[in-house]
Amino acid sequence: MKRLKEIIKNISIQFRRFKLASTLNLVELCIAISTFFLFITKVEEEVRYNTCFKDWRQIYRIEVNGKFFGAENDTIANLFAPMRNIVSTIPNVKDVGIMESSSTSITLKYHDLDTNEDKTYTCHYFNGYAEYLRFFNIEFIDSLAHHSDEDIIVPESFAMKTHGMTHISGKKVSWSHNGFTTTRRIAGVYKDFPRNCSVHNGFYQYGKNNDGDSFTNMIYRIYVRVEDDSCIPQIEKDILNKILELNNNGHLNLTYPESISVKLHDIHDAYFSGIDEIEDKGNWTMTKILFFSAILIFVLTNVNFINLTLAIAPMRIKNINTRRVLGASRMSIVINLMAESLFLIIFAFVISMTLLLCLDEVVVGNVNPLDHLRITGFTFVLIIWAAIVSSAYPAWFSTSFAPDIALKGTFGLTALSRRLRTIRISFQMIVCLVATTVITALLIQQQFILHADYGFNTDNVLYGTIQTPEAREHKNEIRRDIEQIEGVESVSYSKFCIGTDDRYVKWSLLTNDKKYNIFTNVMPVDRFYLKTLGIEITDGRDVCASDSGAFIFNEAARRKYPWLKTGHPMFPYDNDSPTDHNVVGFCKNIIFSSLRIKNDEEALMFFIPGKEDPYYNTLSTINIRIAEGKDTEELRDKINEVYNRYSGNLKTENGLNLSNIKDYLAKLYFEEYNFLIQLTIIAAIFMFITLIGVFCITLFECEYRRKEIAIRKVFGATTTQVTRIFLRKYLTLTICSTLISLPFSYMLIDKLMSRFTLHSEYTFLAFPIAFLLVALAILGTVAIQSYRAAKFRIRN
Amino acid sequence: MLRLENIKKSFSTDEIETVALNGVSLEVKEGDFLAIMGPSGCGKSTLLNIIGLLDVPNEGKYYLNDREVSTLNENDRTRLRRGTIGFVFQSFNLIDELNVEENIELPLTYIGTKKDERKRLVSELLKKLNMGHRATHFPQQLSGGQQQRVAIARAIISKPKLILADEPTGNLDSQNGKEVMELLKQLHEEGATIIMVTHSQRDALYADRIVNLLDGQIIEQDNMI
Repeated sequence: MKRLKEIIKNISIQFRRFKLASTLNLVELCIAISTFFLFITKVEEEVRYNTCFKDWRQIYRIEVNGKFFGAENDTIANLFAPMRNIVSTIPNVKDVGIMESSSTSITLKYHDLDTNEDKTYTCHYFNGYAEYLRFFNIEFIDSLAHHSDEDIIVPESFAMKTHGMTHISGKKVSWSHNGFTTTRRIAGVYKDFPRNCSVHNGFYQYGKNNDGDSFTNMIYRIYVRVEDDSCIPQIEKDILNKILELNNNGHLNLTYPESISVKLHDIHDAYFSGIDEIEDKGNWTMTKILFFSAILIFVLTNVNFINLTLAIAPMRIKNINTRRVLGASRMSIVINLMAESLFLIIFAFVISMTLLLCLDEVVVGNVNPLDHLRITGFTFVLIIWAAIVSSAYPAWFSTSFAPDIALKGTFGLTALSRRLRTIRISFQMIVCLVATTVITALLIQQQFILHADYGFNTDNVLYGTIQTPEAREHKNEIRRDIEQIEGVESVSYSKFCIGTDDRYVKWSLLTNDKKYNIFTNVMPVDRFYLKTLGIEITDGRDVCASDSGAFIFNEAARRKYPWLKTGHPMFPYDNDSPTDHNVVGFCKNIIFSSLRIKNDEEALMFFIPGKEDPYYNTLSTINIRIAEGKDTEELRDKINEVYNRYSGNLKTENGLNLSNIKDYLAKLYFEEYNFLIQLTIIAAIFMFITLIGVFCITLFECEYRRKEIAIRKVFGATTTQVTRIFLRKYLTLTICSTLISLPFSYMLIDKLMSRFTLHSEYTFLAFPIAFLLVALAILGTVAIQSYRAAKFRIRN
Repeated sequence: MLRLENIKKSFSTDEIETVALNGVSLEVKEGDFLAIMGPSGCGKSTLLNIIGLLDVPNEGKYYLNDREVSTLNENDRTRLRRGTIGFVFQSFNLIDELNVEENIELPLTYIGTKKDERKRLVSELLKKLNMGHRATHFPQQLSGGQQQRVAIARAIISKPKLILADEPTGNLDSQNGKEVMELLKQLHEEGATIIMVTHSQRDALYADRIVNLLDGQIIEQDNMI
C-alpha cells in the first residue's frame, strides 16, 4: 500500500509538472488502446464470419455461373425457392437451408419499461421458411407446442427489449408497412445469432411465402450441409444436372444452358467473394489493413511510451540517486519506476474499456469489452507487456550511474540512446506523414468523384422517373409544360440515368452488308437528350425532328472501330426491333458509367428511336436542365405539380422522385465512400497518435534541454537563435522522414486508388500538402515550446 | 573595465522579499584578478550574474567599458556578452548532447566565426590544455577536472576581456582544483580580467584582490599585492 501511494504520488507530481504533455500522453494511450481493441474486434468478427454454425466447414452456398438470360457471363448466389427441395434429394447432401435475400424492413412501436418511453424497434421480416432456421442450429429459448403458418418466431433481443423477458410466446405483435397493418402471433423466441453470420435476427414466419413455387423469383440463397468435402464435385455435377433438367422441362428459360456451371462456395469464404452484393460484404483488404493498423498502433504506442519515459528519466536522475544515497536498493527503484508505468497504462486501459462500454450503446456493432473477454484479456496482456518493455530501459538507465557522480553532474542520454531516440521520432514522423498523405489523397479522390468532369452537365440537371402508365402516355405534354416553367432550360427522356451505374445494356450491331460488326454500350435516349445534357458533338450532327431513328457514337467507338463513319446504316443483331438506322454523328467521350470502368476505352452508342419505335416507350427517365442559380427546391415543386397533372390516379408523394447526379453518385460510390471514410478514420487516428507522440517528445525535450538553452544563452545565443537550433534539427528530421515516407505513401495510395480506373490528376498534391501540414504541426510545436523555454530567465 | 554604483537586487516570492545585494559599489580594472568571498546566501552569485549581464539590478548603475548596461534589454545584453565575457561554472554546465569540440566552439558560433576557423581555434586550445585526445568525447565520458578544463576552454575560446568564474573548483578534488586555478592564473598573466566567486581561501590567494560580501553588502576589500 505504501508503495502504491508512492507510485500515485510520483505520477501526480509528473502530471503537475508536465500538465499538457502528461494529459496528452494519457489521452493518446486511451485512444490507442480503444482503437486497438476496436480494430481487433472487427478483424475477429470478419475472420470468424459464419463460423458460429456447427460444422460450418461442411456448409456451402450454391452459386451458379454462366450466361443465364443474355450474352454476359455472371455468377449468382440468389436462386429460386424450389431449388431447396430439388437439392435435398441429391446424395451426400445432409441438409439444405434456405434464406430469403430480400427481406422487408419493418418498424414497430413498443413501450420501454426501463425508461417509460414509447420507442420503436426495427428489424427484418422474413415471410416464410422459419422452420428451415434449424439448418443454422437455431436455439429456442421459448416456444409453443404447436404453430401455424401465420405464426412468427422472434429473437431474444426483441423479447428482452420490448417485454423485459424471454417468455413471450403466444403474444401478438403488430406493425404497419406500406399502409397495411400486419398482426402475427409469436410462436417462439430464439437465441440471437451473432452479428457476424448470414442469419439476421429478425422475425421469421412459418410456412412458405407466395414465391415458394416460383422458378423466376430468384431471391433465395440455398445452403447445403455435405457429408464429406470429397463429395463436392459430384454434388456440383448433380445440381447442374437438376438445373439443366428444369431447363429442358421448361421451368427455366436459359439462353446458353451449355455455359452454366455450379459451385459450392464455403460460407466463410463466400462472405469475402462479393458475389452477392447484399450478403457478401466481407473485404479482405480492409480486414488486413485493420489488422496491420492494430499492430502499428501498438508499436507506435510503445514508441511513444518509451520516448516519454526516456525523456523524463534524465530529469529524475537526481531524485532517484538521492534515494539511492539514502539507502534504497537499485532493484527497488527500478521496480518502482516500472510500476509507475504499469499503473499509468492500467489506468489508461480502465478508461479505454469504460469508454468502450459507453460507446457500445451508440455505435453499430458490439464493442462491449465484456462480450469480447478473449480480446479484452489479450489487449490487457499486450499493454502490460508494452509497459514492462517501455519502462525497463528508462528505469535501468536512470539507476545506471554511481549515485555520487549522478548527484554531482548532469547526465544526458548516451550517443547511442540519442541516435535511437532520433530513429524513434523519425519512425513516428514517417507514419504520420504516410497517414497524412493517404488521407489527403483519399480526400482529393473523394472530391474528384463528386466534381469530376463527366463530359456532360452534372451540376444543373435533375433526374426523375416517369412512373405511371398514364404519365408515360403524356411524355410530350409533360416535357412541353415543364419547359414552360421559368428556370427550366431543356427536358429530355432516356432509358437510364447516365453515369450512375457500372454497366448498361450492350448490343451487337452489324453493317447492312454484314461485313463489320461492333459490340457497344447502348444508351437509348430521345432527340433532345444530348442538348439537355450538354454533350458535345465532335463530328456529324445531332439528331433532328426528321430522323425516324439514329445512332450517335462516342469517340472511343470510332477509335475502336475505325471503319465507323457518319451516314453508315447499322442494324442491331439479335434485338427485338431489328430496324436499321444511320450513324448521324460522333460525340466526345463522356463518363457514362461509373469510375470503376475505363470509360475512355468503352464504346458507347446513343440510340435515338423514332416515336413509332417500341423502344421510345421505354424512355422513362426524365432529364431536366435548369438554369444556373435557380432555386432547385422551388422548381422541383413546380415540376412535380406538372407531372401530377398527367400521372392519373396513381399520384405518388414525391412526384418524379427528382434527384441530381450527386445523389446518385453518393449511392453508386457508397462502398468506395465507406471504404474511404474508414481509411480516413484509420489514417486520422495514426496521424493523431503520432502527432501527440511528437508533440510530447518536443515538449519534454525543450524542458529537458532548458539548461542547455540557458548555457547557450550565456554564451551569446539569442532567443531566436535558440529556437532556430531546435527548428533546424526538427526540420531536418521532417525532411528526411518525408523522403523516406514517399515510397511508402506512393505504394499505399497506388494500391488504394487501384479501385478506381479514373484518378484525380491532383492526387500528387497530397505529397506537398501532407509535408506542409506535418511540418507545420511539428515545427509549430517545436517553435512554440523552444521559444517558451528560451524566454526563461537565464539565472533560473 | 567595469564599475558598479550602489547596485541593489532583491527577489520576491509570494510572501517573502529577499534582499540579495544591498548597495554594492565596485570597480574592476582591466587585467584585475578579483576574488569574491562570503558565506552562502550573501549575494556572491547574484553579483556575478549582474556583472555577467545574466541579470539586471533593481537599482544602481553598472558601467561596462564606460557604457551604462543595467538598463539594456535581454537581446542587447546577449549581444554585449558575446565575445566580451566568458563564464566558468562550479557544475561545469557543459551541454551533454555536444562533444568536447562542439562545446568549446559554442561561443564562436554566436559571434559568427567561420567553421574552419572555429575548428582551428578549438584544436589549438585543446592542445594547449592537453585535451586534444578528448575532442570527440562527450561530457559524461570525462572526469570532473577534465570537464572543468573544457568549460574553461569554452570560456576563453572567443578571447573575452572578462572571465567570470563561479566557484570553479567547487566540484573538484584538490589536485584538479589546483590545475584549474593554475590555468586561470596563466590566463590572468596573459592579460585576462578575471572575477571569481569562491569559498576557498586557498583559491582566493591566486587573486590580486579579495572582496568580502555579507548580507548583500561589501564589508571588506583586500588588496593582495
